[in-house]
Amino acid sequence: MNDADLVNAFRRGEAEAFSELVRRYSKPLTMMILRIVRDQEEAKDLSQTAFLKAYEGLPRFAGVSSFKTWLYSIAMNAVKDHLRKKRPLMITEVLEKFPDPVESPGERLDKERQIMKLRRAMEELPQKQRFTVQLRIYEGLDYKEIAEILGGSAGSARGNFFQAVKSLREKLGSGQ
Amino acid sequence: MKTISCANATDLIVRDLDEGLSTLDKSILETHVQGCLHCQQWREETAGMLASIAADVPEDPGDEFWKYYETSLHARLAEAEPRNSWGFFWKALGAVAFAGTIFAVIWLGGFDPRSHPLHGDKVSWSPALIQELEQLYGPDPEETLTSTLARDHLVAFTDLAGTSSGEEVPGWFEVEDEPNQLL
Repeated sequence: MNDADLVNAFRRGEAEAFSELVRRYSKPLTMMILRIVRDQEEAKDLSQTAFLKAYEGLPRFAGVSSFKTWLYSIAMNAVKDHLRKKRPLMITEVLEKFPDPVESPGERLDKERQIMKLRRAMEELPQKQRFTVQLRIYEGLDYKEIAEILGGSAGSARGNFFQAVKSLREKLGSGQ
Repeated sequence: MKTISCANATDLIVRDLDEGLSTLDKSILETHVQGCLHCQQWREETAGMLASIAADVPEDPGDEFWKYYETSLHARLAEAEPRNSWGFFWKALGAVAFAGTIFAVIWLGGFDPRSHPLHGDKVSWSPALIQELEQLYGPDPEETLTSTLARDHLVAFTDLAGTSSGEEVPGWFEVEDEPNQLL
């Protein structure tokens, strides 16, 4: 059964159809959110919130876009709200989150600094550019799908990605 | 072969790394990059940067996380379900309570449509009205035009609606035939 069939089945009262949609998208959706928020519990909470909203909104889902892009747009809105309230991570917190016992503390710190520099440059991007990069690089979505999730046209999504890459290059400078 | 500026070349590099270029654009870019060290370096660094972004992926949280994820999500869904049901219940209860209040006001609050002046037995109240009109416009036998007309109309209307008093009430034609006392 494809997503549209499952959505129709759910509307007919088959609760199991929604469970199947959860099984299909819980992992990719949570991992997508995790790449942005960098916290497993927060990612879990946000993706579950997206599913709850989808569950409540599915009877009114018009089906203009696919279930996936609709679900992702709900999730991205939840992430936007979350990021508005959240403080930035300190480097020590990042080191605690991703420990690697094989590396020396010096090597670890250099590597983490590079990662932090890249992440900070990403976080400084306008939110739409940042989410476009996330959806394009990690999710491999085409610009039409990105536009359905974030709003706007495929052309503007393409422009956002282009601008984001140019801005990141300027922020990171030569040799990153 | 057409030559391009470094600004144009960097635009093409981003497009090439993202979606790829047409054969013509690709050949234009390659011609430029071969003769431009700046653009060669820019392309390498941009490709490296995009690879770093793609590689900055958090680890999968593991099976336990996903098992707990599913369990806790179903718990949240189950929690949301009765809340929605209760929402419907309270809405329905509110509608019934509203309808009940309206019923109580109309039927138990003293309003009886059978006693309404526009319904039912006109004979019981028509003499009182005539009396009032007589007080306003003068006594019998010198009845005023208004009171005479009022009586005629009310008696005629009562006859059409039927009576409950059992008294002899003149019919419409009989009232019509009565001589006008004022004339």
